[in-house]
Amino acid sequence: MITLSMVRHRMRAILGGFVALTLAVALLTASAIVIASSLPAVPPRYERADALVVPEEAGTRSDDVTVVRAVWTGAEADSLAGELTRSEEVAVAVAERRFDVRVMDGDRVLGDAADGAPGGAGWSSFALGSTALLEGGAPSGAAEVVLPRSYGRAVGDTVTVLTAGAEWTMTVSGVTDGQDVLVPDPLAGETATGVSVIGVVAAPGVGTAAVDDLVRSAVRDSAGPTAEVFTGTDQGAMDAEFDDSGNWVGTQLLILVGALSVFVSVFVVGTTFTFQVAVRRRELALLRAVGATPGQVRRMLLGEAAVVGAAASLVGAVLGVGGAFLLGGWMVDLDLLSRHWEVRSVALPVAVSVPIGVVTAVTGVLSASRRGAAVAPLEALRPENTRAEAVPRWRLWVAGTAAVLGAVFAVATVRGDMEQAVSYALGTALALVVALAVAAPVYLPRLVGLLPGRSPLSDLLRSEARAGARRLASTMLPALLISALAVTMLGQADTLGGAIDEHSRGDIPGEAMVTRPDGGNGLTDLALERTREHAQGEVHSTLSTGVYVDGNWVEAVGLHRNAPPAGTAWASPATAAEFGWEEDDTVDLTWRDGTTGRVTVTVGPFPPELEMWAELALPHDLAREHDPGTFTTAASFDPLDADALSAVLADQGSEVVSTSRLIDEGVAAEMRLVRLFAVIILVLSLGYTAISLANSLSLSTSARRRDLALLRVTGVHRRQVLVLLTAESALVGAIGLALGALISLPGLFALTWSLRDEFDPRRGPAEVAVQLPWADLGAVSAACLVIGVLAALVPAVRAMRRSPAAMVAERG
Amino acid sequence: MNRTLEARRGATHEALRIDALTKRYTTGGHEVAALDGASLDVRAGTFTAIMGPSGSGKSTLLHCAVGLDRPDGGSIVVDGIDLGGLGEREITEFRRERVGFVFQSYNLVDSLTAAQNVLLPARLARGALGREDALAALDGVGLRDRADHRPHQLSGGEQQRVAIARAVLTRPAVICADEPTGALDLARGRQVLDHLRAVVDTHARTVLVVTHDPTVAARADRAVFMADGRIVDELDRTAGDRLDAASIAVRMAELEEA
Repeated sequence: MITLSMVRHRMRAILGGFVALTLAVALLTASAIVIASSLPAVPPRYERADALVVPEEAGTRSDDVTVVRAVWTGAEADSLAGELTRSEEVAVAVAERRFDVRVMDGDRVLGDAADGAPGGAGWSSFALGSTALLEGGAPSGAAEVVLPRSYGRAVGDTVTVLTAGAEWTMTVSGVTDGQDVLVPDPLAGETATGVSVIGVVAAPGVGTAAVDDLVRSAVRDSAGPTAEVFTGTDQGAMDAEFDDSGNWVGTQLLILVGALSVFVSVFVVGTTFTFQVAVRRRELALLRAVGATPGQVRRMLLGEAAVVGAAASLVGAVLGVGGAFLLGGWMVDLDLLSRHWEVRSVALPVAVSVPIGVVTAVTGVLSASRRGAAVAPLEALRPENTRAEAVPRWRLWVAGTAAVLGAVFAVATVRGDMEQAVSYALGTALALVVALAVAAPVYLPRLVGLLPGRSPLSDLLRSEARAGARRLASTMLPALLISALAVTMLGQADTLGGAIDEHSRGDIPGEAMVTRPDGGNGLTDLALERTREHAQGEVHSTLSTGVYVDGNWVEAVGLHRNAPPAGTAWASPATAAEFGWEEDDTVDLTWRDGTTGRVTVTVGPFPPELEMWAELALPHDLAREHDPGTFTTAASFDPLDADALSAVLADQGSEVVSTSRLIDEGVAAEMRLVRLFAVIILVLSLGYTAISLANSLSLSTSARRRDLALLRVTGVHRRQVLVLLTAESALVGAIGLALGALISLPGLFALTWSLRDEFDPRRGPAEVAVQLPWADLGAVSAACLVIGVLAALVPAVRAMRRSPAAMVAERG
Repeated sequence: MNRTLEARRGATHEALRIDALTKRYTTGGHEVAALDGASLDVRAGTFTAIMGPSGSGKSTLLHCAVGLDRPDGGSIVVDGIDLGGLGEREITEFRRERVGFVFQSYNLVDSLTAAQNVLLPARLARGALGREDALAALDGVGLRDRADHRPHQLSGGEQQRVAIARAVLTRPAVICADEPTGALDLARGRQVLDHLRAVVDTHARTVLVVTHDPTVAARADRAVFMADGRIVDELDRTAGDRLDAASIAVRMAELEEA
């Protein structure tokens, strides 16, 4: 109850910490809700399946991350699905046929450029999903199609459905709330490249475990590649395997935002309560005198922090729940989250965020509470004694440890890949911020002591710095933090951007490329043929596919330009070495559609545009023969007449774009994302800086009222007092900014080292320079200084409205 | 029951025994002896004033006597308890159970009401006392109707009286007051003294007051005079000494001239 009364009494003084913490918990809650709602999940199209069966893993794509699985031929899959369907416990088993599709209304592409899995499937797949039929019914005959509602067509409308190799004029027979274009099963069977998943829906009343057993035993006995079974018995694995939301970029941003909020609010809350302890020394001493043990004082301060923390966290959580909808919607607009994102989970994120808020508050107060407990009872009687406090040893230990941690992060930055390096470089800067922040009372008075000049003002500044080292240190913190964040984040953005711009342009032949008007990829064969007719020389087209050798995935590409002779394959020297192939060997392999075959290989180095990713080159027609369901990824060429070509490509949903413009746009898109991260973090930090500076300066000014009054009594003008405060705030702010910039440099230089090996290895280590956006940094610094000076002046001006005598007489 | 403790208490009838205290401060590079062999016994149920010029060590003696400060040498026994052997936590618990405090100013915690302030030591000790006891104590100093006021709503004299109520609430062995009227005008100062006197006369507590004001000392049963960190003289009403403001002022003047 004592704690509660004290918190109520000091609400205004605690306000800064309260606001900071409320915001932090709001951000944390919103981030956590968005993250929890974008965790991997089985997409709606498979939601009703009780078991999903996929072939075994066969390797990864050229990005070294995306897992590729083996494939069933249609016949193998149908026999397995048929056997499952015959079981009484199974309502239906579907060997899913999935393929690239584009639906046209004349020259207009319907629907958005889809992310994730190809959008075309047979009608039988409908049974696996939770998708609902809104209008109409199943496609009957060979010329009917079911479309998602987002395509904007009604039952009875006529559309053109394009696949890689075919063009069908179809009538819409139904509309769903899903995402798939569903065609009659026989058509899907002709179009799809093999079968990659078999979905099983259990008969009513059959339990998950029973389905699991049944499917596993059926799979064991089946022909074709070994299969893996995912069921509700391990929902997590199922979610992870089939998730195709592509939410991870957004999730990363949110984790960063949440972590930074917590990091920064520990500082702000810590500063708030440190001042509380300084201002309340007499009260604490009185408590000690009348019988509070040091432990009771410490627990009281921690209790106050917990009360403030709990209140702030609850308010923050409420704000955060509302904020999650805004945040999520905004991130969807920025393509950081899947378009189908929605708030799915609230309770758990709130249950996690609120305790984190309380713990943050208590953590921030730990050192303040120790200092409060150390107040001697006698200070209640001798308030006027100024104490020359020695810097406690733990500060040096913590500072040293943080500095070592910073060095470790710097080394990790040099050794990590691009993404790790970016995080580690930020870690380097933050660890050094902690080191400098904790050690500030040691070096700051010495730094200020270097201030030249013999004027009374500079004398006063120097001696104030000596006397109030800790106060100065806590006013420097926000500037230090904001500067370190700004220089690190913006510096990373520009350095990365510069490096990508300079080194990752690659070697795309030709002046023009064919793309979807809305930016998506993929050409139909008809579009490719028309492009070849309008191109000067052969078109560099890539049909991205793959083959399996001894069950291992080999990244393959179907080519027109530089294609090997019909019916043969061209292996890169590395691929040939891996499998022991010699020139003109005839080798056994499994095609992308699951059929086996033999092909004669030639061995030779790949041209630059292929070398970075492909392992095996095939003539386009051979690749197409065994991968009928996939659009050609891209085509680049020198056009004869770009406009004429665009005109004839329109009904294939494609257009001609200049290659350099595409690359510029690609680099720009990547940079936009990096910059977006930086700007979000900076805006957040500036907001925090404002709160924290306003907070600590107004507290420190009110704690210094008597000093200020004394200056006034001894004949210092109001204006001179204000000049003193301005100079002090600006000086300390400038020191903080300079130090923050300085400690960002190790991380940034480490990043440039790390980036040296990130680009085309044929050109040797890339020369990457640290690039800093000076104008932006200048603006951030200026904003920081202005906030600092205002935060110092406003409370001082208010304090000095009263007469000096009244201020001196005021109780301390 | 601790027989030795009881026996010792019975034998002495003394609330406080101070023997040969020494205490040195280092200020500005040179050492100052605040206490230099001060010894003092205070009988239970008496009102003792410690007087002396500035720097004579009277406040330091009081602070050491009630465990607010630690002497460098000598021994202090309060209510049979030797403070020398107590750790920080024990000495804190000793203070809240056996000592009441009235300071010159700043006696009360701003955020708590008068009643809460009175109850504070008892609450810190997790004692069984409740609001009724606090109200009774406030009643004793004539402030029952001010129980729910906060310190800033009370006059200086009222704040001192709340402090007296707090000091007597837990029935401590010694109530110590450091210039309790120093910040008050005459009338209010007299009121506060009346209440302190009543603590001795009606509650039979032991009161120890540090003051340089002869009119305060004149209300005591005994006045001891300090100079240079030692007790150098005393006037004891029970021993037949005249103890009025005039004679005390004369002693003080002699001390300051010496």
